[in-house]
Amino acid sequence: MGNVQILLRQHVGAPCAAIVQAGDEVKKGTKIATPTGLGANIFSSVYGVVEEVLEDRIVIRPDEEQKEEFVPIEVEDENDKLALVKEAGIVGMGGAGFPTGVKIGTDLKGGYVLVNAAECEPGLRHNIMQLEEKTDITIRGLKYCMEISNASKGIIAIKKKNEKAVQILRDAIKDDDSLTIHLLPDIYPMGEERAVVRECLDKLLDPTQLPSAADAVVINCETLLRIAEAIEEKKPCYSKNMTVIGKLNGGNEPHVYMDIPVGTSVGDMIERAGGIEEPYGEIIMGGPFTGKSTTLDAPVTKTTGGIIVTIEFPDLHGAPVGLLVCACGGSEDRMREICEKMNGKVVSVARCKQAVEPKPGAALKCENPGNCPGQAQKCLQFKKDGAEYIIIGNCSDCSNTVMGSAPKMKLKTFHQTDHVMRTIGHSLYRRLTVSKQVDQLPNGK
Amino acid sequence: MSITAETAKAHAHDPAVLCCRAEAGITIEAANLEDPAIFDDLVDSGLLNLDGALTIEEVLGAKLTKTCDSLCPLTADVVEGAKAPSKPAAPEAAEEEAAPAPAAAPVAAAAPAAGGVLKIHIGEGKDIDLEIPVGALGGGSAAAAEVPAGAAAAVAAAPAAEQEAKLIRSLTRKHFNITEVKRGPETKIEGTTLYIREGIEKECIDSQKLVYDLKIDIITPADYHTYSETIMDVQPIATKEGEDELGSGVTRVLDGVVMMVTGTDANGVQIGEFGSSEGFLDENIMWGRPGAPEKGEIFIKTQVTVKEGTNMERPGPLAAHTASDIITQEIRECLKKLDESLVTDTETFDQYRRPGKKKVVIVKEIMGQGAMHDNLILPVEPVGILGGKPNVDLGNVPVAVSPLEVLDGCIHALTCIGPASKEMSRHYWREPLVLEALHDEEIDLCGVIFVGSPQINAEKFYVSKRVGQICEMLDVDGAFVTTEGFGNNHIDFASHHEQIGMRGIPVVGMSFCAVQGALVVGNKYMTHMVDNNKSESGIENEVLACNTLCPEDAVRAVQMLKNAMGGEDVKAAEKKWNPNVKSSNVEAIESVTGKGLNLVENEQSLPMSQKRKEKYD
Amino acid sequence: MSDLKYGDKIIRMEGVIVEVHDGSVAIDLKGRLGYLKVPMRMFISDYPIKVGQEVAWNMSFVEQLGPEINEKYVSNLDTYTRRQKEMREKNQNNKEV
Repeated sequence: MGNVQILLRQHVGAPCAAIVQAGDEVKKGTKIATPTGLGANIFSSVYGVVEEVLEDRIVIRPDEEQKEEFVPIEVEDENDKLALVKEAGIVGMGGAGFPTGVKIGTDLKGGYVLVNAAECEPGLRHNIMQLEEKTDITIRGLKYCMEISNASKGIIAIKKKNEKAVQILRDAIKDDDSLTIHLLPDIYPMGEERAVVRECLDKLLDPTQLPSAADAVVINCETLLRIAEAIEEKKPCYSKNMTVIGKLNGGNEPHVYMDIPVGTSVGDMIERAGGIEEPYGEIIMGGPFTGKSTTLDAPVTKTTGGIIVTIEFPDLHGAPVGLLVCACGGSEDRMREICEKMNGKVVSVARCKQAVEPKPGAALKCENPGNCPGQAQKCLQFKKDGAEYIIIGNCSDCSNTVMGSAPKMKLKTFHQTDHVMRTIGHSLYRRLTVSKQVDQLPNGK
Repeated sequence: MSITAETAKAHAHDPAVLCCRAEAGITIEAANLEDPAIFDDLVDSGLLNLDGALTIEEVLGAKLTKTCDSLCPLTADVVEGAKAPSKPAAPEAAEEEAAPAPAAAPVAAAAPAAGGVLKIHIGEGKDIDLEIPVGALGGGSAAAAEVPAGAAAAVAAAPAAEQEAKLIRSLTRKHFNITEVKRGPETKIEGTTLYIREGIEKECIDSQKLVYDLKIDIITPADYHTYSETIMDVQPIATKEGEDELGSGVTRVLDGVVMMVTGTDANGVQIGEFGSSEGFLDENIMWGRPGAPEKGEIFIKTQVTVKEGTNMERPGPLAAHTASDIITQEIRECLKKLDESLVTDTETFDQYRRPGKKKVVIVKEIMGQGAMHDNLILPVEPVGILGGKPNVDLGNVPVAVSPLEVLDGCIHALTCIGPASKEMSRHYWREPLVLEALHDEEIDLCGVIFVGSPQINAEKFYVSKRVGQICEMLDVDGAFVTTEGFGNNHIDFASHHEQIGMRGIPVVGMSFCAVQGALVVGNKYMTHMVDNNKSESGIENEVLACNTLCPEDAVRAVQMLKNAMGGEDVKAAEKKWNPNVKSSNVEAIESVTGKGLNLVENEQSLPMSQKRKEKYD
Repeated sequence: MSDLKYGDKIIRMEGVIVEVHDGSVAIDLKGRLGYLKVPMRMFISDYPIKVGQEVAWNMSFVEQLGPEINEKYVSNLDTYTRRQKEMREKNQNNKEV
């Protein structure tokens, strides 16, 4: 095992400040950094010695031998569940990284805790596997959450296609009147926070609104697990579940790893999964839609859900390309990067009508995730600007719309996830063949 | 893209098309529908077929019975519970509403080529906004604040504002009639016969180093079916009396005869841009246009041969014009001496300033790209050579002239751009917009600005900014911007709009646009446009002066500027050139003013129009 | 125009300026695809125009509008070429004298 690198910023908010120095011995669960503003405590995920404290990270040389025990968290009142969650440094494990202690600290006045179990990014498996294998502790996490935030209902939003997990959950909640299941269609994106609210509560929030506007919080199912661990075991948040998948020796099946120490390198994870089957295109940290390209020495964080090794990119030989940037996919920078890797030349950039910046400069958000506002005009723009190819980062519904006009305009269409989908044998995002409507369980049970 | 309820209401009678896939059973809302603004492009791209589509108002609130994909027009077989269509914006009602005010001014403007894929790169043209859809250019307005029909009411309403019109100067034209042109031993006018000295050709040739040969043909109506080299210019034969200066005093002019300059280089290559109006005269002239001959007139046609290779260089065409002017000048000298008793008609043009009325200026863009894209400004004699300054040499900067100077031939047009859109020298002599604005007592025409159209973009913006600055200084309430032809001069044409418009001054633009002359650029100030096209198919049809500014265009433009100054909106132009916009606007103006507007004929009235029809229509 | 079958097949064309006249610019299309001479006002320029500068524009293909011959144009062309020939000869003779 190589050095563990723990980033000082693994969450929404300001970077934490290190409270250890080079040479300090640390254990699993030793607090090594604390927030300077909005943020969450950071703990060592291993036994070892702090080798370096850099501006953005703490580098720890792990001991040969790693025990299971950890340093439990300490709070003034051991029964103060919210304090335990805060002290444990839990953040939204689905990717956003919002400090959970802050999120569930609001009084929902009898409202809803919505569990995001959509596991929407194609190829990822660890959330569903957690629900299947760690059902009880996850449900307990949900109940703690409801208790802390004064919610009266818990709704688990999960895609209907995950039949086994749905069945296990149905059994688990059948005697609890406060819990129900909401089934989601198998389209992208269903895991976007406001999409979950809309699907479960039939309320469409503005991109600037938080779910609390609908008396709800949305919590990723792994976050529930970490909440339960913090409350029941006083365990700090220093490990992460994730899926490693892609062009790996041994095949493109997903490898799910539970409780990986935060700070482990991407390279170590890929080695554990069999190693890269050369040649490859790029390594993505995160999901195919919202993930970013990464390197072998990058460390995993509290929000790393996936590591994907892709096949090589097609070569467009400098052909003119239009980019359709969408809140559901990569940012314009990411789209440009993909275009460059495909050896295309960007001649036109359009942004989906619904993709808006909630604040200037902030990441795009979709006004109505998964429901297309029409894309024909964008295609006309690309055509006018001389594009021969277009790369889109759209959701299932918008991709379908693009396919309604682009091919007729002789615009050859790529989706930003194509290279991932081809790698993992998933169908490409083009035409939509499934319905956006699913039949719900009787009474959500 | 999906539309809002508001847009849906505005487009209630447009076809309903799904913007995205929609599943069976949904209730159709505005958000499910594509914006009708892009339908033309979609139809052009073959993406959309609107046959049988219900309208937006019909489908809103109805149920979709079948899952349909994006860009699927909603037809009766996939919609349940469609509403009955209302009358599409009841035309009667609209007319009644518009009746008290003078309606609708004109327009039809420019749309890019089919498919919406016209792409123009303008390098560093910083002031040009290529994003503006050309569809935003122009349209007819519904009503106006200024009320020509109800002039009495306007007077009654604002008697205090009424101030005495002030006569600035007058120009008198004395007409002499010519019925016959002959060659003779000396140049003279006897009665109604004009004699041109035999052998004058030699002096013409000798006067210009570049001129190798010059032939004079007298073309009578019987000879109209004669082959001619490309027509470079049509000029009135006129001269000033005594010491009178151009633009005031008395001008003598011959009726029934015009000068016509044609020519080639020594190798027989047409002078001018690209020979395209050579051929039989009667097939190539749009009779009666302000710049063209009238049917029945005699042409004194020079056929000049210039040094080989100079047909495309600046000195060549200028030499041809200068050599021809020796003949005209000799006739002018005779004309000066003619006895007053021979005057058949006298007309006087009065230039008034009208304090208290909306002050307007006419900006006329003239070609200045070089070579035959040039004009001599303010010669001593009407449409003469001597004293005239080439606007290319003046740097194409704006030059202020009085309306009467324009009508007195202050422009000697060397231009040899496409024949159908060229403003011949005679055009300025009879400039319809200047006449219309000069005679309109509801506006205060303060003057005319000529501005050249340089070749390089940076220079275009240079002169354009001067135009804007002058308009600012003039404190005008409105401006006309006209241009002849099309091409890169539309870049400065657009820039003039911007420079004037950004100072809060309403602008009405006039140009040949239609299909072939579609504007290459646009900006948000180009909202009021009048298309000078007359050709059936909207193209440069090679017929002399066919698509130039005519009285019917001037009337529409003046009406439109009044509307614009009155704060009325003008409807956006349709995506594609639609000649009906003009006819409906003309009808609206007629119904309000009570005056008939006789529209001029187009090339279809000429002989052999059958052939032209086959080719173009 | 609607009678064009391939009017929407826009292709990017590049060329090199080979002649600059006061009133027109001549361009050799790269790839031996022809020669184009355009009047100044149909040429959009940001810099002084010089031989050797590269230019580009979008164009489509040239299509026939039909098999018919327009006699008017044939007759004009005949006259025009005949005159050109005569004038060239005359011009030549003039020079020799």
